[in-house]
Parts: sequence; structure tokens; C-alpha cells
Amino acid sequence: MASLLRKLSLALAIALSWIGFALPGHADEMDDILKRGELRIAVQTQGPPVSFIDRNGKRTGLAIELAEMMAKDLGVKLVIQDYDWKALIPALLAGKVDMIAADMAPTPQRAAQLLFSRPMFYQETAAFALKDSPLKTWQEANAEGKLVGATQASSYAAAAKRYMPKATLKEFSGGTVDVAQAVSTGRIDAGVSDVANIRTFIKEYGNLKILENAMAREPLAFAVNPSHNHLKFWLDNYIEVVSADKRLDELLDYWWNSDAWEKDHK
Amino acid sequence: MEWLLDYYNYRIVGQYLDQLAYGFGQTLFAAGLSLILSITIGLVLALMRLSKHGIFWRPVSAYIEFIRATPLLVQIYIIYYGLPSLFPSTARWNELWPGIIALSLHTAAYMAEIIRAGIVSVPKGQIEGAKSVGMTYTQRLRYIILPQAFANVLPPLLGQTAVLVKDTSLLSIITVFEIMSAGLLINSERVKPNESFLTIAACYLVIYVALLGLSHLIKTYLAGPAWNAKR
Repeated sequence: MASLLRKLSLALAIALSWIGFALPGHADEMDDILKRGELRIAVQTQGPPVSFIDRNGKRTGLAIELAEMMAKDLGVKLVIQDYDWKALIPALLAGKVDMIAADMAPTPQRAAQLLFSRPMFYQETAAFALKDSPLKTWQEANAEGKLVGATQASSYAAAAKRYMPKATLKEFSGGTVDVAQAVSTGRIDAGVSDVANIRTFIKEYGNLKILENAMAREPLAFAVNPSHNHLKFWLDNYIEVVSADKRLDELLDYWWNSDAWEKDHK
Repeated sequence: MEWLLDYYNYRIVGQYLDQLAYGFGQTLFAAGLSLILSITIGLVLALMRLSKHGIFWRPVSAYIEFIRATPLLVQIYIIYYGLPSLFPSTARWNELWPGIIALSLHTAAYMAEIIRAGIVSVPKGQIEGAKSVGMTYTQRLRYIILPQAFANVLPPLLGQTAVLVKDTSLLSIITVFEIMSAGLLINSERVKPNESFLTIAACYLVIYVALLGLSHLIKTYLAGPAWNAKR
């Protein structure tokens, strides 16, 4: 009897494992998201219009609404986890989130560690200075003895190195707000950031101005774990779809290319 | 050595040797200068704190409590962003100076309390003996009290110095390019946490071991090799 049971259970185990192989595909990260019913994203609070807390205490912004749209289309709940800029990549690699939805440029170095979607949108890199500074264009800040600040190892720091080689670059590991504070208190002559961020700083600090001419245009993309191919191609496909049905353009027009968001959220 | 590359890619670290060496130098400079300044200021504060006159000890006591009650990071921000509004000329100082000022003012409060404990621990008989042979206040301090006071409190002084060395990592936030900044740079450019942070952890360890040896030499110099041998 005992041996019969053993034989039966063995047969059952073999049958089950066989079914397991026969089932189409193994559970991948997309299945995990659907089973969990949650799309977990890592964001940073870099300020309007990409990701910030609005006047009602709600987290919103271009990256957030884009991710909300994805979660809605997938029929899952969006779970937002707020990280420091430096902690975004470690959080993704540690599996705490499914993707990074931040204003991250897919640099070759980062792409060696992560899998980036196709660019979601583009932003313009520019410089800013004190309102009463004699500087008019960013080219004027590219001179011996001028101090220029940017977030450490950001694409802004890279742009400052590339386009303003004569100036001395100060890299702030605390983030873009520290750069604005340093310009505002006169510690540095100019800061480098993106146009949307600079517009916000100008409103908040009151003693800053943007320097003329854009320095560079840079792509921004969402990032997923390097082994999550399905999710990466899902994102690429998503960008195609929402570009075609104009939903991406609506979002970009609302958040990025105008101040329309301000009357609803500020 | 190929297997090691999976856990620690020393080739990447090798590409950043210049930055690491420069950062190591800045850390040593900031910590060394802050140590000298904080012990000097701490000594003055300790002597004032031990004074019988309220006009001396009360403000010092308030200062020490204020420093101990607020985080060093806040103090660094206050000095870095606040100093230019008080003295506009300091705005163009190299960020290393506000950093060293903040570290020195912070550590001096802790050093003062340690040195005060050291001075109090010198037996009364030593001071009475010095007085009876006609030594002045400065002579008593220089030859009798301070050598014994420092020798007595070397372990906590070493501990506080180790804290000071590690606290220099906070200067990375005000763009001082010390060893922590070098680590952050590697990590944000290459996204390699092991290579970035294990390397700089090892650098801090090297500094600590050197400090340990140095404190032993200082103890021998101040009090002789037999100090505390029988206690």
C-alpha cells in the first residue's frame, strides 16, 4: 500500500512537472505585475513639471501621469515609491520597483547597467544665474574663473564639462535644488539644469534669471531591470501606441510645452 | 584574479585612481586642519568651561549644548549658505573653507568636553605640588596638567578624531571633492556600488589604522611608555 502511494505520488510529481514545462512560457516580470495587481515605480521629487507634490498634497507631474496611464491600461494599481536621485538605480536593481519613472537620461554608462525604454520626451539643457548678474548667455559663463554648478554626475554636469570647458565645474551631490541655492546665495556664477526646472526656480527664488540659448537637447527615458526584456518592449510599444493616438502629445502639451498645469496644481 | 571581477571590478577603480587620490588628499587635509583647529578651540573652551566666573563658563556651556543639539549637516548648510549673507566676500571662498570651519566648530564642542574631563582627572596633589614649587598658571598647564590630561583622555580623543574623519564625508554635499565625492562620482557614472563604496570604505580604514598608530606614539611622547602600566 505504502509503495503504491509512493509510486502514485511520484507519477503525480512527474505529471505536474511535465505540465509545468508544457504551459506556454514561464512567469515573467509582466505576469508578476498582473498577478500582483500593482505596477511599482520609483520616482524622485525633483519638482514640477516632472514629479512633485501639488497644492492638494497629491503627487503628480508628467512622469507620474504617464505611469498612471500605463497602470490604467494594464488594469493594475500604481504604487509610487519616492527615492533620492542617488537611490533610484539601486532600488530598481534590488527589485524594489518595476521601473524608474524619472527624468533620467539614458547615458551609455547607465545603459550598461539598466534597460532603457525609447525616449519618452526630450528636455532642453540651459544655464541660469542671478538676476543682476552681468551674464546674458551661457556662452559668457564659459570663461576662466567662472564657477558653474550642476548635480553631480548628471547629464547637466556632462553638458557643462563639454560646452563650458573654461569655467570651473562644481558638482552638487545633493541635487538641483542645492545648485539653485548656491546660485541664489552667490556661491557660484551660474547653474546648469533643464529649462522646466529653471523656470520653477526662477519663480521660487525671485532673484534668478535664465541665460539665453539652449545648451543641448537630451532624451529622457524610463528604466527597467536589465533582465526584464518583456517590460522593456512593452514600454517601447506603449510609446508607439500613445504617440499614435495623441495621448502622449496631450500630456506633453499640458505639462511640458506650456504652463497649463499651473492653474490646476499650483 | 578573473573571478574577482564579478564582485569587484578593479579595472573600473583603476580608471578613477586620479580622482580617488585627489579625494583622499582633500579628506586628509580637511580632517587634519579641522583636528588641529578643533583641539585648539576645544582647549580654550575647556579652560573657559572650568573657570569659576559665570561670564566665561556660561556662554561656553550654551555653545556646547547648541552644537550637540543640532546635526552637523545642518551646521554645514548654515555656514555654507548663511556665511555669504553675513560676509559677502566669503561667497567666493573655496568651499573647503566653510567646510573646515563647520567641522572645526562642531568637533571643538566635543573636544572641549573630553579635554575638560582630562583636566579634571589630574590628581589635586599634582597641582598643589606645582604651586608649592612656585609655578605660574601657564607653567602648571604646560608642564603638569595638560600632558597628563591629554594622556589620560587619548582613547576618547582618538574616538572623536575617527568620528571627525568620517564626518568629512558630509562635505561632499557642499561640493568639496573629498573621498566620499570620488565614491559618489564612480557610482553615478558607472553604477557600480561595490567598486565605489568598498574602495572608499577601505580608504577610511587606512586613515583609522594610521591614527591608531599615531595616538600610541603621542601617548609615549606625553607620558612615557610606562604610563598607566600599574593601574
